[in-house]
Amino acid sequence: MTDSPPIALQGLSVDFLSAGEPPARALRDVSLTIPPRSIVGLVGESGSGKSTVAMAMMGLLAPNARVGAGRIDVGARRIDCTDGAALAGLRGRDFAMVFQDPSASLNPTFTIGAHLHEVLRTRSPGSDRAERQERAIEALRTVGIDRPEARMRNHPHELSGGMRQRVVIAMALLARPRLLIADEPTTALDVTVEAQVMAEIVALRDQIGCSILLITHSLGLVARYCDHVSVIYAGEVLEYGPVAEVVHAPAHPYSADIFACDIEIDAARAPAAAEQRFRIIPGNLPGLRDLPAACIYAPRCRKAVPACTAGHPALLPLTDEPERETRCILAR
Amino acid sequence: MSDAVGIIWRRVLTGALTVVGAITLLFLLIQFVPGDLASILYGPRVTDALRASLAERMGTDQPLPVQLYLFLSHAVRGDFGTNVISGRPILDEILGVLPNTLALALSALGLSLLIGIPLGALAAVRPGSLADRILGALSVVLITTPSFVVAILLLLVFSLALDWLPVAGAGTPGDPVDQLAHLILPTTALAVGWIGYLARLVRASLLEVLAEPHVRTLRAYGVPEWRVILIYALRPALIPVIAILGMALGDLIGGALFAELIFGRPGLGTLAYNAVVSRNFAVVQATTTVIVLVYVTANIAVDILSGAIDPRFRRTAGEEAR
Amino acid sequence: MRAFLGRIWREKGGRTGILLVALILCIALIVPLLAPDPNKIDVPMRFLPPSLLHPLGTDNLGRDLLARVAVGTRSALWIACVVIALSMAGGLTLGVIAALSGRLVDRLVTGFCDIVSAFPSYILVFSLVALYGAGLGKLVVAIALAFLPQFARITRSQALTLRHRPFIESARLMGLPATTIIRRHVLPNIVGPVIVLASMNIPSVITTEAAMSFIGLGVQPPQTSLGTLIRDGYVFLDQSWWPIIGAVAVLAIATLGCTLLGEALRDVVDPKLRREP
Repeated sequence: MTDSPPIALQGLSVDFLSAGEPPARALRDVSLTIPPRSIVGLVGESGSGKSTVAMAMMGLLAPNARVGAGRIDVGARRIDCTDGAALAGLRGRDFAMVFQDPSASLNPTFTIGAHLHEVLRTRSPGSDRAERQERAIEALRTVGIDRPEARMRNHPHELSGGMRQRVVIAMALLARPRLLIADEPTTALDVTVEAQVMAEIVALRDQIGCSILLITHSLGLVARYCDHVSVIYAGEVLEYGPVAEVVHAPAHPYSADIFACDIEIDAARAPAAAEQRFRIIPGNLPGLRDLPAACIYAPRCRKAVPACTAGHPALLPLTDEPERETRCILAR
Repeated sequence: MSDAVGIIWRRVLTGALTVVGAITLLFLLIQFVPGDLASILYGPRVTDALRASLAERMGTDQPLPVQLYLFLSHAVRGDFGTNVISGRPILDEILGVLPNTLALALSALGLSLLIGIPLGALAAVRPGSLADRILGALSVVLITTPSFVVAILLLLVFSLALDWLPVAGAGTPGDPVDQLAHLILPTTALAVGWIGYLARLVRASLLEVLAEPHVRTLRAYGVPEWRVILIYALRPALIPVIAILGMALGDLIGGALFAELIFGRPGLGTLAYNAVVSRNFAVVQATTTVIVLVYVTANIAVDILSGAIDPRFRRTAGEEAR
Repeated sequence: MRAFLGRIWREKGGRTGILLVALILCIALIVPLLAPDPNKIDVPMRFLPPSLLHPLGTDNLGRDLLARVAVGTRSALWIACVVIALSMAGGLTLGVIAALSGRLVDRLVTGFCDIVSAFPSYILVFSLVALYGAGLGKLVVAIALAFLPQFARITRSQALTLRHRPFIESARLMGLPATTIIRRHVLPNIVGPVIVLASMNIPSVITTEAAMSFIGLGVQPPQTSLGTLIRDGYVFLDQSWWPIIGAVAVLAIATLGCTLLGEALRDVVDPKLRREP
């Protein structure tokens, strides 16, 4: 199989407008590179804008959102993020999405079968009903749902949370996208079910050769499943690189801080930290309406120096590890 | 599937019980009116012969429970006795005019649904737009004007002033066009209020549904917007509409009575009103019983329809699959 | 109270609602003090269009319409208040009894409510009036009965949720008599939704009374209400439109204002209720 070009998001900026106030600049110049057949994690705390990235790429932002700039390179095409119609063309064909809350992701008044048929109708417009039925049942079987023929006639409320999430994954399977965006896919599920669902998502990559953008606040998930990780804070990407490098030798103080916040502490790397149960980053997320021209993390950063507030740092590769990028002027 | 039948059966039984209860209530209410049963039922036209035949049919000389039983058994068989004024069986008179009233109420219901639902959907799809705000203001006005007032206004404008539509009656039987012409004004008068109400209800409901995650899922899979709205969002949005259909029909039947009086249409309303005026309570009692029966039946049908559309209300025996 | 009114003022339809209701109250309460005698018959002056002397014109007997409409409005509002009060009282009582008594009593009360609800409200009022005769008192009782099940149901469901709350249990254990528990603990928590229901039903009550009086089964002459005025106007429609317009306009404004106010009230009271544990 020829190596297809990575899916690249470049320079995405999104503002949220509200009456009588300056716009909240939710995303500023966000870029992501998603190599083919890889799993890229987008990790950040609540409010960092990670879900907004996903919504912007899918063209599903709220009505009060305004995309300032951005483009997506998919295969040979270049799509402008401000072009809603073009983005709509990607949905269900090149891009697919798995959402956080499986109990709400499916229409309670329609059967599982109806959902799957609808995905197939969009993806394969010429298909007939029998063909779609067969493919749908096969998809359910593939994601590990037993008695799929019976399940087709069930309604969402008759299935458990884990099964519903599998159904959504089956929908993604049928859509055969190039990129699957999984937005906190296991947050609403039990820990025991989480592993199963993540296994299905990873299996998708093997079965249809898609890449996966895994959006999560769980560093554990990132460390276990992702090939690359992008760290986002208050609407800016602060670091990007292969997972092992970023987790064990972070190139940005924020990454270092959050990986230390995680309860599973690498005792070998930081024996002092292993004694403490929690480490809290002092301060709060910055307000998004009035941003200074400085490093966004400077107010809370332990390593901040005067140069950090002198100007807004760019996301640049590390000098000795060019496949990694960071915004910290001290780390480069 | 057999569970669904069980639920339907239970609803029918409860409904039947309610009807029986309603008839019993009427019976009890009669007891509190001064005077003997014959005078109450027949008014000033009562004669000794009538009294005697009534005593035989209804057991007026017997204890109350027996009377109640006779009352109920006659009502259940549709035997409401004879109209003392016209000499015809009351049941026949009711059945003669019932189609008119039902036609009016059902047409009004149909018209409200036909216009109200699309208006509400349109407003929900473009919230905050000019069309939405006009609809919002208009709907409040439509809802609050009582239907008999609307009827009078329509009568004024379209019949008396413009002479476009006939004023009174139901039209010549066997001539559908003429009957339709006679149906237009009363139906519109009744429907106006409900159009406003349904538009608001659908708007609010659809707005809620469109904000729900499952709509987002379908959009994320590239389903065309018109399908998302018309097929997948509208169905759950219509659940509250179905829920109030029964109440709507009851309200429309009540309103139909007034519309019949204002437009001079023969129907249950005019029948009952004339009976009240001439103190012929037997007819009123029969009319009320029939209306209650229709209303309860409509409510049962609505409940069944609700269950069919929203599967969460169907108590299936399905255990949760793991 | 002032803060409360302020909240309603800021609510979407509440402002219009308050203004319209204030207008109606003016018509009902203030105008009769200033207007000419509503019963003064002056036949040569019949069917006059509006003028300075008769702002709404005159009716078929030369009586000033504005004065008559004002009196009719006052009747309509007064009747509506009495009906709602009666309905609320009856409904509250039945609801509380149903919620706090045994299963049998509860079943009986619920069954009674279901039966009364099986009659469309107009039909129920109609039958009662047919049986017991027309007249204001009987009409009031009939309409109150038609609206009673709603109050009973909402009271019952609120009381049922309260019944199992710890503070009720502890009150019982302390040996407080049932009436005290009801008065001090149950009723204050129920008041909110009940008031909202009452205010939302006022327009329906006004309309039902007007409709019944319109067909002659409600308020009887010489008493007036909006319904009788509409009837008077209707009967003489071919001679003049003025008599009917005044009464119809006031009826529409009254129902519109009460509906808007009721909805604003619900939006103000309801979310507040949700915050309580």
